[in-house]
Amino acid sequence: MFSPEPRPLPFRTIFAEQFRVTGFALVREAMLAAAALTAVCVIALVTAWRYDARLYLDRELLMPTVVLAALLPFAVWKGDRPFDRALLWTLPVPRQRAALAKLSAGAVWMVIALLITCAALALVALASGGGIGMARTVMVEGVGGAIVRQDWRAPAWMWLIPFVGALTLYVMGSAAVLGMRHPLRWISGVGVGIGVMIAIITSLASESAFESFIENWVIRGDVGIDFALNAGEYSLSYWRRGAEGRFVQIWRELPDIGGWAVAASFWMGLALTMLGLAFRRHWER
Amino acid sequence: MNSPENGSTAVWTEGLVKRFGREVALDGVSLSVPEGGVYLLAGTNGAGKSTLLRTLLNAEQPDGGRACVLGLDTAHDGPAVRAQCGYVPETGEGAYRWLRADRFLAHIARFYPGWDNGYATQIVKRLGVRLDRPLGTLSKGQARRVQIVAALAHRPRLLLLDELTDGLDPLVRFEALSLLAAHLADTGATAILSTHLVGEVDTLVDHVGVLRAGKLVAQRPLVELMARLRRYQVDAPEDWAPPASISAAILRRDPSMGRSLRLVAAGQERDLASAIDASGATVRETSAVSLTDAVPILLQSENSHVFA
Repeated sequence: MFSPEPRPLPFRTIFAEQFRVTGFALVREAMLAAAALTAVCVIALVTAWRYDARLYLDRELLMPTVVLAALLPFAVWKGDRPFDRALLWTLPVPRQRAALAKLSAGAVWMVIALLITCAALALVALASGGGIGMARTVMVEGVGGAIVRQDWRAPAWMWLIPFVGALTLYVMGSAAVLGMRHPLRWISGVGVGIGVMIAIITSLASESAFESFIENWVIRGDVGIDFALNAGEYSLSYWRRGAEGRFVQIWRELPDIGGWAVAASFWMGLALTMLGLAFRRHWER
Repeated sequence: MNSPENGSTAVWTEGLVKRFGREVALDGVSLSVPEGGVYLLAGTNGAGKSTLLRTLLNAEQPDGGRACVLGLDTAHDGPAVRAQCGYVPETGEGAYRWLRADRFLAHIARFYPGWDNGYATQIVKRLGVRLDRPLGTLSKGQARRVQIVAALAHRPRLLLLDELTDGLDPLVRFEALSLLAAHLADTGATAILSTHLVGEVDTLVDHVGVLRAGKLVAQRPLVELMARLRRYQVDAPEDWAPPASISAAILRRDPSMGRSLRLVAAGQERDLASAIDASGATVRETSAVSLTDAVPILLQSENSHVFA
């Protein structure tokens, strides 16, 4: 008596199972993150009460977690090394679907972790008497260069930035883990290589075309990192000494969703392209 | 030889090639395992046995040749092939170390609609599997038992068992082999066993293949192999050399002790004995060669290809 004739498993079944197992895989990391988050919340709350300060949750507070998103794939794929006898490849599922399910499961856990972080920090802010998103007065260049004071609160779409940024970095990290036999060696090597190149170029010329490219295209360009991860704050504003001798931030224009969407789409597109190339290495007909 | 088209072959490969960088792991392997057969895949360390088994699952994609498993082309139907295979890998260390054994089995079960919980429980009891601990904390033997449950409990048509008893203590080893024998008898499944411990499985296997440096140098039904492979006790002059007509059939020549020589040769006993007698030596005695002795002989001999 044999098992029945195999039928292809629906993706939702594969995903549900990978979600469950990936959850177990991330227990240790989740406990570490929970401990760190608890410590941050307690310290923030105690400090706020002690100095009678009101805390406000701003999306920038979530940005450190975005960096961790690039490292998350290493935890998601532990025990399933794609180039070394991965258990995943022995399951009765097309390799690309299995990999996509695992990757998606990790992404969902990451978004859940971000939401929990967001909620915990929001609770701390509310408990301190503050709130979510602080209204502030900003200086904006008006017609003819006149500086206009304007009340401004970060619009709702800006709360998407850490989530989309984290997902983009997660996809890039996943592409590295899935596409490279030795991802850490490659990432370290490329990082050191770029550092050495910059050092050499800087020592040869005070302002090189390379530096200019990094500054004007990679960081501040229309699809630069600044727009993708920071809504263009660095690109859209500058600092000027004010009448009282203090530096004030002047905005040429305030961040808008269009500029961010273009940059975020570009980087997500790049990440997905990298992921597609990584998938090709394991593709099963 | 069977072909995948006639339906009686469970596993069939043709010129299978797999490279890892410059290293050739499989070099034109043409394997044939009949439906319901139990095939011993023997070979030295690094001969390519594990790679061959993983290639049959399409867990490793071949660089050349083709493989057909249970009537399916592995390159096109990898998932369907894997759905009908039970696989015990050479080593499971490092995989899902954080996961408790019972959760690991539950995870595997979800992928196989034919998973038989009752049968799984029965195997767990017989092998004394500890389900309440993470895989990473299990001994090598305990981890092996979990893998055996995972491989058998969905009642696959084909078993690919890579060093099945590696890490098991003698009692559990016996239990595992009994379990396998009962499983094969009950289901009529086909099995490929890769092992260095040939003596453990000599009562189970009915086909033998010998892999050396990625090449399948010998492959025969066990009965035929045992019938053709004989040990000859020969009295011969000091400068005696085997005649050219039989030198290719001699797989092993033990160092001579005085005038006495011991040869292991492949072929019809009567023909070989006549040829030896005609060359000036005398065959004193012939005897059978056990499978345990035959495998190392086939592994070492340059003339193993007589069984290819």
